[in-house]
Amino acid sequence: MTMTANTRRLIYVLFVIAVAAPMVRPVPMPLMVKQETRDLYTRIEQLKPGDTVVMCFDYSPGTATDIHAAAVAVFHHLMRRPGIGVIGVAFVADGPQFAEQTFATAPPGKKYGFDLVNLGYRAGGENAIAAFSQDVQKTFPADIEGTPAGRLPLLSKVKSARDFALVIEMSGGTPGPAEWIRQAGQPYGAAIGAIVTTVMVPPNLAYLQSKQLAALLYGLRGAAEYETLVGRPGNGLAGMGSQSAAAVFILLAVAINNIRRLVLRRRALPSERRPAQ
Amino acid sequence: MRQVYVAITLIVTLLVAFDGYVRVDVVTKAAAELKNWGIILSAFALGLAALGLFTLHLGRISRRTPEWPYSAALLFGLVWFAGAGTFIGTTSPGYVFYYRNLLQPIGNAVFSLLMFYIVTAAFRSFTINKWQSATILITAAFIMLGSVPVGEVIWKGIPEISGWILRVPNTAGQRGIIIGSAIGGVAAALRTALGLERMRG
Amino acid sequence: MITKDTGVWLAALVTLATYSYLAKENPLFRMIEHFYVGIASGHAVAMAVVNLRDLGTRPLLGGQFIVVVPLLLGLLFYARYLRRPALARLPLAVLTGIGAGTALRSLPGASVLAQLRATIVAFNSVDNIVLALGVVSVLSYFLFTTPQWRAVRLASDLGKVFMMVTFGASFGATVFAGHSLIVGSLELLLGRWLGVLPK
Repeated sequence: MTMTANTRRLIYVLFVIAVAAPMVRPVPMPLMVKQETRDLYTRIEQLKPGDTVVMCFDYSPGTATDIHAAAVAVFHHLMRRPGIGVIGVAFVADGPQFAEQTFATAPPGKKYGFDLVNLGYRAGGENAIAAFSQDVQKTFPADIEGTPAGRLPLLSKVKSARDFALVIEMSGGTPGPAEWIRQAGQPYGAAIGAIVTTVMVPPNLAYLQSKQLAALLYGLRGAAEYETLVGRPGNGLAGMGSQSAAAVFILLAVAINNIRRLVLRRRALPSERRPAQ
Repeated sequence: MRQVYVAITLIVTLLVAFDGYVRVDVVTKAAAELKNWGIILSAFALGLAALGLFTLHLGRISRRTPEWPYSAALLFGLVWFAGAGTFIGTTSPGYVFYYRNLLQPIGNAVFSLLMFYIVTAAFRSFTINKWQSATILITAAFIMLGSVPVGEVIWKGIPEISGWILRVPNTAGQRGIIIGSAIGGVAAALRTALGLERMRG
Repeated sequence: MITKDTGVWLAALVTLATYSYLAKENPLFRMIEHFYVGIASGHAVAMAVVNLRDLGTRPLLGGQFIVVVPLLLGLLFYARYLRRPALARLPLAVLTGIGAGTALRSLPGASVLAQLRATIVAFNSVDNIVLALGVVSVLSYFLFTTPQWRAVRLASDLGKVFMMVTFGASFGATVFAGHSLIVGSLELLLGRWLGVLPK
């Protein structure tokens, strides 16, 4: 179908209206929480005081909307659990900024250096994850502000990935859960949970089924489900109406296109009908 | 001289690889040191990429090509953020302000443009004319509707079917691809370590 | 109620400038696009400098002289600017070796054996049978250099069906890829900037 520029612009406007309308006038819809989301919730509920969790912020602005909402919900759950320490790391250059934004929402009473630490970013992708899993303080001799690791009590509890009670890898691409499984899960037995964009769901389900991943949250839906579980509505739940509208819009577009082609083919003379390719 | 580079690659490969299979103190320490060297070298490589970008666009500005104002904007952004992040710090309030109000929203908007192309493609190109395209589109439809609450509203079976598709046939296909590409990755790593892959440049 | 926050105004204006592309490609969009590449690269450079400070210069000044080796190797990457591009092959040889070693160390266990182990499950449900059949048939599709016996051909044809389902799942997921980003931009424009979204 040849599309003029004006037709294209009209479609864009209609699409934006369809997506924005549920944001302006929210429509309540049922939300079934998937087992994969409950698995992460249960894992965190089973953590004991003194456990240390690594939150790995491996996403950038191009993939943040899905993941950041879930990251904040999960972080709040961790902060509610007594005695849990959270270490923020990143193997993507934009990660530390999102770690700072997440940690800025910590409840009052949580102390930097004791309850949470932001170690910053290391270059090298999977190799850097391997280095961090083998020796935490050799890879991060200081935190993002330059405070030596020796002055951060939380870091004294962890030497390698063997000491991580849970790793939550939040990724929009590479490095991702697969790299953590290969460098921390398999060699050191670390439990890995993942928060990923919708695009990364299909390949990571194979790791979930093989139990190399302990849990998997995906997309804005995963964020909405986790917000429901922790009782803290946020951007995830707010975006569900828009996502529903977008899905219906696109599927209607596909249906209109295919029906139109079918009708045109039936109207064409037999000599003009092209064989199905 | 090529043999020297191949020898270095082979030695480094063996030290890093064997650390995963043997418990020898010397090998473990060497592997740990090499991994940290990898981080340092990767950081230098990042700088190399930025320097390449810098010289390319500086050339366009000096030659006054028709697109030189855009190159100037690029260089301004590069020097500004690189300089501010290095000398003032990436956690300083000023840097964070411009990161959150420039880099983040532009990145968000640029990558979201893809969605608009997909919408117009849905009106033009997503056609069902063979069993392959039919399978792909029908599966995609279930996955999309299963990911949003409206799927449950339309029919309670949609999330269940979507979940089954992801858990069973999709997992089977992805697993075959993971295993196949892992075997290929091992073969490529061996070829690289043994110098059978020619390095160019 | 439109916000008075300067940061939100800045974010809203650059977002609108980016979306101006949807009306028509224009110089403003191209300027923003180039500017974005610049600031993203600048940010990466700043982070790289932090890495070199934390793992290179600080340990060196603290007495760990072995880090001179990777620092010098890293500088050799820039040898092309001194008209000696061949020297850059030395740090590349080390980096390549680290990558190859990491792959050899981890891929066989985590990506092959663990995945195969998870496939060999008890055939006590339809799902398990379909899963095992699917993995075997998809792997059969990739047998390009073996004789194509009838069994292999049949398995390969079944593998194509599983792969179409896999690609369909990936396609459905990809279609959604940019959507939440639009939600993010609209939340900025309608919520934080114009204040028309309900709290």
